[in-house]
Amino acid sequence: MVDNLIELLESFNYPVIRQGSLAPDEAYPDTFFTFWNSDESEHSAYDNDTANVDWIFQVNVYSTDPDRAYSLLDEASTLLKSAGYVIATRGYDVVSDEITHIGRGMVVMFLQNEN
Amino acid sequence: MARRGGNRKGVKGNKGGAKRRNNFYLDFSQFEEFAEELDGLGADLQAIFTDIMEQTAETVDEDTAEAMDSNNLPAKGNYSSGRTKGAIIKNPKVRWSGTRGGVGYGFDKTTPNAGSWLITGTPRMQPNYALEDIYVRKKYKSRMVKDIMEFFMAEVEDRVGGK
Repeated sequence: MVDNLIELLESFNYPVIRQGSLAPDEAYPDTFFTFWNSDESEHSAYDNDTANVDWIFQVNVYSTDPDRAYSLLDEASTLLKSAGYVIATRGYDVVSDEITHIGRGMVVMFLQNEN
Repeated sequence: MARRGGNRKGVKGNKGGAKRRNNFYLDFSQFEEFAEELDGLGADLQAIFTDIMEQTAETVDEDTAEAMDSNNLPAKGNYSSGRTKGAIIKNPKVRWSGTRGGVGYGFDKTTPNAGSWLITGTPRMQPNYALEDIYVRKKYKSRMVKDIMEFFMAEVEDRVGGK
């Protein structure tokens, strides 16, 4: 599932990294995605086996261009929804370590059928 | 249209942290029939819901404070000034508009960046697991809803019991 998310985000041709994985002395790319898998839990079970799994991700865009941060998050939201992800928010500000970058984020969910 | 500096909301630079608040609302207009019945028994639904909401918000605030324990903070809290922990709402109060009541909980978002960076993390810092449990994962919210329902039934029984 994580691979699928990364693959979809990479189709925008910007770096995709795990939240918190950038080294303290590493420069921010001009525009990039971060993701974080907040939860992977059993949604339902059948015959004592997991039938469906709930995935929750945080997906963020950081950019030196505020307009791009907003539009890219919107585009990512559209793409992910078309791939079956559920997104209930339009987005919210996320904190950037760098004053040069703006951050926008959203919570992305997916209900995966295990069968 | 290109914008010079600032973000879409007209805020210069980006220190992140929207001014959104964590609020939850209850509207007891849907309980009208039930309310009439309870009114007849002398129950004050607004008072019951006020108690429920304030106690629930207090529980979330206590759990948030616990999640801010040094062991859960970056560098074991060595760089923590305590300001973020100080931004946790104390003594939450419900505000009513007709039958709709709302109460703030968790971090007071009128304090810039309060707590939100710990929940979302940054490219250089992973999110705080314990805060994610409260604000992102479903289990905590499901338990909160179950607690509210149980509390509601207990309150109703207490106030109208024996009548």
